[in-house]
Amino acid sequence: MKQYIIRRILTSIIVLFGVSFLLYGIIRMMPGDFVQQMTSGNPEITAEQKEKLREQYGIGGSVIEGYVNWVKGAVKLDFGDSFKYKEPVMKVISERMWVSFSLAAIALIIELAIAIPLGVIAATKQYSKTDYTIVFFALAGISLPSFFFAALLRRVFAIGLKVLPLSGMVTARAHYTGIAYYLDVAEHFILPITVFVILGIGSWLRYTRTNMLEVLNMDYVRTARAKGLDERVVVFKHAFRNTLIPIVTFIGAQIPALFSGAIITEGIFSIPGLGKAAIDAVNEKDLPFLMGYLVFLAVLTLLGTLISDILYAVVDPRVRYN
Amino acid sequence: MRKRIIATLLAAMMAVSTAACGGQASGGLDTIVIGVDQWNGVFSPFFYNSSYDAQIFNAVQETVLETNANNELIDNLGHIDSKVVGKGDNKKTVYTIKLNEGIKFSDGSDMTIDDLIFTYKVLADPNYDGISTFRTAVNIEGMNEYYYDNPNYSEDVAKIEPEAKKAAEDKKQFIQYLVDTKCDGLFTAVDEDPDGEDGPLTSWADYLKDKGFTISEADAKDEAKLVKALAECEYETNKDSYDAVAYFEDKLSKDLVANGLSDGIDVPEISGIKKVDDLTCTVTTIGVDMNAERQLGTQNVVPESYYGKGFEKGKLDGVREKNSVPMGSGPYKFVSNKNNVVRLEANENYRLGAPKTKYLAFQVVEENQKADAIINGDIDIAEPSASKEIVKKLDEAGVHYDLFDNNGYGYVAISAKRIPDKNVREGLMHLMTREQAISTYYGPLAEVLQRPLSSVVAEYPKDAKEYWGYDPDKALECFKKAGYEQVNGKLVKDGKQLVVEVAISDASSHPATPIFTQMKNDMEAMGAKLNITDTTGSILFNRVDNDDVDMWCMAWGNTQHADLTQIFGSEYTRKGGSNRTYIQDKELDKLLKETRTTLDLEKRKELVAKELDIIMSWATYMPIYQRKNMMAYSSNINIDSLPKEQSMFYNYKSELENLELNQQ
Repeated sequence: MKQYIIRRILTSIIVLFGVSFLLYGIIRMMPGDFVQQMTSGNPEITAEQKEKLREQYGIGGSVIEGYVNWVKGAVKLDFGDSFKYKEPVMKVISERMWVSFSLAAIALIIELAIAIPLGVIAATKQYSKTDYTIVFFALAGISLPSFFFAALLRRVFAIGLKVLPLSGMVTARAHYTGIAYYLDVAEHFILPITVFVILGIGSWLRYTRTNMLEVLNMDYVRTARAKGLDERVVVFKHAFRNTLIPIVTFIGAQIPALFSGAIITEGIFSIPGLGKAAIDAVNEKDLPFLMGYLVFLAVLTLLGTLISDILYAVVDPRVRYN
Repeated sequence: MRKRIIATLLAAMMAVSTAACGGQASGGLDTIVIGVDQWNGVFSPFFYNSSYDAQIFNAVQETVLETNANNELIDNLGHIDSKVVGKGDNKKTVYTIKLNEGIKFSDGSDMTIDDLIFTYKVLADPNYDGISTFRTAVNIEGMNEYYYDNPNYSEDVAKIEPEAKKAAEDKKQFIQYLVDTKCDGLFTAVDEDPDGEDGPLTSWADYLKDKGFTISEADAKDEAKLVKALAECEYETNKDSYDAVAYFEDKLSKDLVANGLSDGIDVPEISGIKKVDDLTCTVTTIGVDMNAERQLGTQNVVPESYYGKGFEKGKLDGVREKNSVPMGSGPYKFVSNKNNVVRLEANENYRLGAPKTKYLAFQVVEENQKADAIINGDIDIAEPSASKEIVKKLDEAGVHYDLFDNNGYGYVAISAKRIPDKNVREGLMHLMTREQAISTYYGPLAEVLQRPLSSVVAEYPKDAKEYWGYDPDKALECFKKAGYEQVNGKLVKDGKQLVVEVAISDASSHPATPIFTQMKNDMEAMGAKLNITDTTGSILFNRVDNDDVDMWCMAWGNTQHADLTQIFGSEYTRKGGSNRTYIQDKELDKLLKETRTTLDLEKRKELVAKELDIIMSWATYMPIYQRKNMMAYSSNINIDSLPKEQSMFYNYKSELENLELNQQ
């Protein structure tokens, strides 16, 4: 096992180099650059000034030259300063990461807490009215566009009933501290988290239902029933535990999604998370930030697949890596 | 166990949510909330790159002069006098800048003229990489010497032209130039066909043979030898079509500025800026320039004691360190930037007395939410884009708002480089129906503009009439004058159909889109083609900068003055310049220069009117609309506390200290 993990980590490093080079190349190949972006619409900037700025920002030379410079810093974990925020990329990411993470993590817990029991119920009552109702709402949730659903929630709860704030992360007018501050943030998180949950529940639910159905048709479940065990024990002890195996490994694959942020939801609710920052960086060609962000996601993805592979071995004794 | 943890977590979440629901924030009487778009957190007048960052540090810092509602300069922190000395080409203007007595920064320290000089020096620094164009926008004596750190800069620059001419006359150097530039881009690859597939030539060897030069088969495959032979051939047969002087000038000026600070600081001060006493300095500028006073007077005066730690020429690290925490003499002090909210607190030391409202908060609000957030009272002031829908919504809710003419305008431009035939451009001009497009989109919130300059600028000719006018028949006439004929339902010249491409960003929501849809129909009816490319802003900028599109639609913003040199002056057609329509007009250049050096407004009005007519006659620029900006205020704001006379140049931002909430 140890050998397997070391081998995986070593190949991951090679993969990271490849990924980062591709990313750098692609970003540099996008039409326009940060200097053009920040000087556009300003007739007073001269050609000479633009050239000098490109030099100062390190985007004047060739792609290879730029990438080598970037790697030199990156191996020392120095991803440079963001053009847009004028601060070290690592600092910008770490400040925003936890906002995105707390939103996504809370949403994930709620999603699982609702989706797993419902999935189990739907599976045990396959083709019943309950099953159809649950699956219908799950599918409706997956199909809702987030901006539309967010607008709907806002219209009802913020503008109509006036019980929840329209957007933002805190009440700017108030100066809350301590517990009151956290309560204020929690209140602002209700609508965005609802959007996440309703949109995200469907996939988990269907995943649980499918796996559960598969397990319920297994011989050992039939055996358990034949032994005359109580149906609840059959479902929750014998069947459900085995359904958990694929779900647990699937959670490992969610790690990057927990940190990457949600572009649209963060944008409409004006929440300073990583997703919004990333889309802004694409629009404004903030090369160092984009590189830092995407490589961070690449690391998380590699880590996520590694963890889910390991978890797979842990929860399923049949799997052995050698 | 696992279940229990999840259950506990869930219970905690629910408890938090319900408790929070009960605790709606009460409207404090001491905080005004301004809703703005996402800032970057670079609250520095030197290094910012978004106007939302600027709005925040401008609440904390002030300038020597400010503009009144009519965009005229008025005293703020001090006063500027000017005097013209010398005659003819040696004319100089000496500006005396005097700060008022007793002004303190919010940390209690006194403001002196050194603080202003410090601001100028940061903006002029060789390592400055912000967006300010102060260094080039005003021609201060000794500025180039300081920037390039070369005490003999002016003399060295004067030598460049004769040296470049000399180099261009030398055969060896000329040929070397042709080799270095691969005959100015004529040659790209050994196996290319010099005159395209249609031409009689098939290889570079043919090309050379055609001009009386021979090259062996082996040499024709060796790039270095081929280029050398080509350079010699071009020198003998085609020398005059190459601009070697410009090449050598460019090369020599690059060598001249290359040294910079690498050999230590040679020029420690800007010779044209002199301190007179603690509150006064003089700035000498070369020539007379209508914009100089504005440039000198509207830079933020920042405390050197705070921003200037460890500052010496070339070292701006100390200045950069303060990017996120601005300080100055303005009505408010910076407190924090967290969770998309910036908090400011009243500056008790403010020179005009402590502000009436204790706290100012800026909150990020998405554009589409601004109106609702104002109506809800979540925020107190915002500037939503003025549209018919927003106006209706605010009217229905009884929200107070003001509309001001935007200091910018939208236009359609045609590249004279890509469409050199003026008749074709004139034809296109006659196909633009502006009135209907603008009135449908904006209603009363915009009007059709007749000349390419924002009508808020005092020099705009208010009585200007429509120059081209929509007339498809005339357009067809123009195309025919250009040599196009209608053959088999197609408008062709030399067998090629008239095809024009127009690029526009976000066409589905752009006010100018109907103009192009009509134009496309009209052109199709004539047998020509208009390709409308819908793209994003950054790709559009990129294509325009690279002269890669025939016609495009954009807008200018933040116009402060009537100097049009950079957009229409011949010199700025060079790559990277702002004259992308390639207007090159000697008479216009003369007028532009004259306007810049004319201080009398009435005289300037005449000159600008003439300039604008010449620009229109080139048929490269069609101004489309002059729209209005909106500022909306929630019912919390005491409307009487807004300035009496307002515009984009003077509004609530100019009198933050007076702004107050309604007493409840």
